[in-house]
Amino acid sequence: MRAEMRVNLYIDRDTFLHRLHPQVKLGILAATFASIYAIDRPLLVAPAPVALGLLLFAAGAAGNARRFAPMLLAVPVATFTMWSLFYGYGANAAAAPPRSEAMEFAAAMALKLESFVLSSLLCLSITRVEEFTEALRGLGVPYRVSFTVAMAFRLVPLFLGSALSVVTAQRARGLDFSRGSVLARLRRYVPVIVPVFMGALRRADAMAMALEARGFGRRTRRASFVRSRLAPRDLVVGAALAAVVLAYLSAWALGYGRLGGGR
Amino acid sequence: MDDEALAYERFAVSYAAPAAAALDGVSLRVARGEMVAVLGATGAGKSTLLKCANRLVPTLRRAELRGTLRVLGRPVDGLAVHDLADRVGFVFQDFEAQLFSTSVEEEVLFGLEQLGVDPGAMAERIRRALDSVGLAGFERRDPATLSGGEKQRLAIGAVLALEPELWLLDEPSTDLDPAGRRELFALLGRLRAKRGTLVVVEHDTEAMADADRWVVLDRGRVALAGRPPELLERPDELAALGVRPPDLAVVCRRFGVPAWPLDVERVAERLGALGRRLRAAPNAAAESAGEVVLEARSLRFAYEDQDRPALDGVDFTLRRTEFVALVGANGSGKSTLARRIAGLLDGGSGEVRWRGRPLGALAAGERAAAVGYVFQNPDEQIFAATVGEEIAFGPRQMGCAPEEVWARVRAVIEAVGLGGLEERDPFLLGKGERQKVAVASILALRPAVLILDEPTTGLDFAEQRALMDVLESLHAAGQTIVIITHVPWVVGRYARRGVLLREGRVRFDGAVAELFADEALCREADFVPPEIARLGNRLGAAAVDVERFLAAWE
Repeated sequence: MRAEMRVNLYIDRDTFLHRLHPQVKLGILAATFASIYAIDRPLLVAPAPVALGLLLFAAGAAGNARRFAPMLLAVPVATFTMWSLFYGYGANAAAAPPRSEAMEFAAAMALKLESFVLSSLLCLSITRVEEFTEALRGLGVPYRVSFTVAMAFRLVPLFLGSALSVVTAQRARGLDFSRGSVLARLRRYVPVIVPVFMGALRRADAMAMALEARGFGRRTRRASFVRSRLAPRDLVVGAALAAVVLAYLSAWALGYGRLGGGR
Repeated sequence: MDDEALAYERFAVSYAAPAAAALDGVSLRVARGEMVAVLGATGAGKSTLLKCANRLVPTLRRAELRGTLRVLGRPVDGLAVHDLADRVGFVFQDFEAQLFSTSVEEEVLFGLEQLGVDPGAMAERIRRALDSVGLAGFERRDPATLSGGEKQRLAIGAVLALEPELWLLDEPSTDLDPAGRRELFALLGRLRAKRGTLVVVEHDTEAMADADRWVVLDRGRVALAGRPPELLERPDELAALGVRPPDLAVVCRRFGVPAWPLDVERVAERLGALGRRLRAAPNAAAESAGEVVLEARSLRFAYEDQDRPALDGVDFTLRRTEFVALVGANGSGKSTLARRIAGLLDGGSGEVRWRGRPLGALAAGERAAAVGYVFQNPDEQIFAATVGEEIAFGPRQMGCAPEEVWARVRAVIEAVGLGGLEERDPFLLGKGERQKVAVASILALRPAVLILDEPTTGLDFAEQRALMDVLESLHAAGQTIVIITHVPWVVGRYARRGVLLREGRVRFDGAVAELFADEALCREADFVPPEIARLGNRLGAAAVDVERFLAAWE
């Protein structure tokens, strides 16, 4: 038995969010980026992480939020610290922005990055890998490309699991990652990287055989099982997302989201 | 030709890189509805034989093919693997690598979509397939959360949904525990009952006794072929070809009674009728002479996301020079216990003491010198360019001087029988030799206790014997050894003390012969004693392996 950590993020629940069409789920991710990317005022950005946090709870994915708590804390703290120190760095004294603007900008950046992380976490918590394939295909991406992208999501946890096993095996041979200079520590990763890489090659080879043996790559007609149809709820959520994006873009165009010269 | 499922005529295969002949003039015909077991040592050509039939060779592994091959009555030259996917089902040994979906249902659905099955019929096909493999109700489960046996049944279900006419199974039971193997072989029996044509590469002759035919390959040629009742009368020839003959066949041959039907009760009757008696078998009792080196008390440990603790109050004492086998079903706590006493698993409660001192208080070097741990898969540790460098890694980490490092490397290479391979690239060695490299790498740390996690998995009979004989000679020289294994004959032949775990608790701790004698307890804990032990139990005397059984028979 391996002491594996659970690295797959999908939470198998039957919530309203889970029932959304895969393209609408990707739409939540896209809407998050499109809405707040250009907004620099923290008060305007703040509703995004709050709403996404609530959605995570509604999706029954609070456990994922807890698992990523260090990251959810570190990302905004580090971002705020960096930008509050370096905002406007290099500008001459006359053109330097006021301190309050630096703090505002730093807070907005922290909230934006937090929103992007939360949105990604939400999307991975409510979307199966196969739904990603379906969503990408619906957007016109060729099957092989969308399958490969979805497969990459699937393989990351497997490779992480393999890396953990290798680390344990090498620790049993006395490998200690905590000693020596940075260079010496980096060199100690060679006994981990080589077996993980070789294992990945072997797994890819075995997987290719298994995929082919079950018909992958056949040129005849592929059929699709209908996993989800667009329902009224999808149209409602889609329209709401579009309205949010439109509202934010309008605010930005009117100068509400900008610092300094903006309103 | 209507009843022909598979036909090889003077069929030969040579791989391009590395250049090697895999099959050399094989002629073999499999009729529809037949079940054929393909046996033989590693490198005999068994996998190649199967992979040519669905074109994995030469499509995904380049090779030159000569002679004739017909699959389901038609030549397959020029076809791709996916062209045959709806008629030829292939099941691989590695169940992890053949599952790539996020739910059981999606796994079965994958092939149906690829083959363009009518979407309206897919749900019914999925239902029927999952029903047949006993996974109805598992539709939404993540395959990663299934047991080994369930994963392999899912792999078979995913193929079953495609309704193939011919099944090719490449060592499907190798990575399974006894419960998983039982499930698998029951499922193969059901496929066969439906007139399925099955060609199974397998090492376990006892499990394949019901096949219509056995074909033994040796260096790319058919060395022996026939019905099991005939070949069971030739156990010595099977063994010479790297196939482990069933214990019962060896015993029957020795005493001139027919081995067929291969059933413990029937063989016991036949031997009983000879009028001889079994005297007390000269089984070595559990050794308890050496002093206590390791003591574990009240160990409890639970993994994240698991309802049941992996260890639930385990006490374990290890004395110097013991040879202990940890046995039990997957998930019973064997590996967790072994890793805990090796200091590789933190957390949980309870205490492990090494010669009276808490194991956790030992410095890294001291701990490595106390307990060495060889992982199940040697490929999870091999990274160096040569065998010598690979083995030298551990002693270097311990800070040994160069002369000391190489003195240790030379000593362990000699001990495990890798002489002459010091400069070879370990990645290019066979699995048996890579496993020996892994053992040598840990032995070079000179641990007082050597723990090996399922050391014989994936090895053929000869390789298993070679590796276990190395351990036996190390033990004879005073090495304390603990193995985790599912292989009954390995426990009987090599271990002296057996520790049976079930659901995180020790259910038995004592002499292996006594463990084997309690069949009810073994059954309850999903451990199957070797057939020779079960035969001995019926004849009134415990026996742990064939040699000792024969020695006890007057």
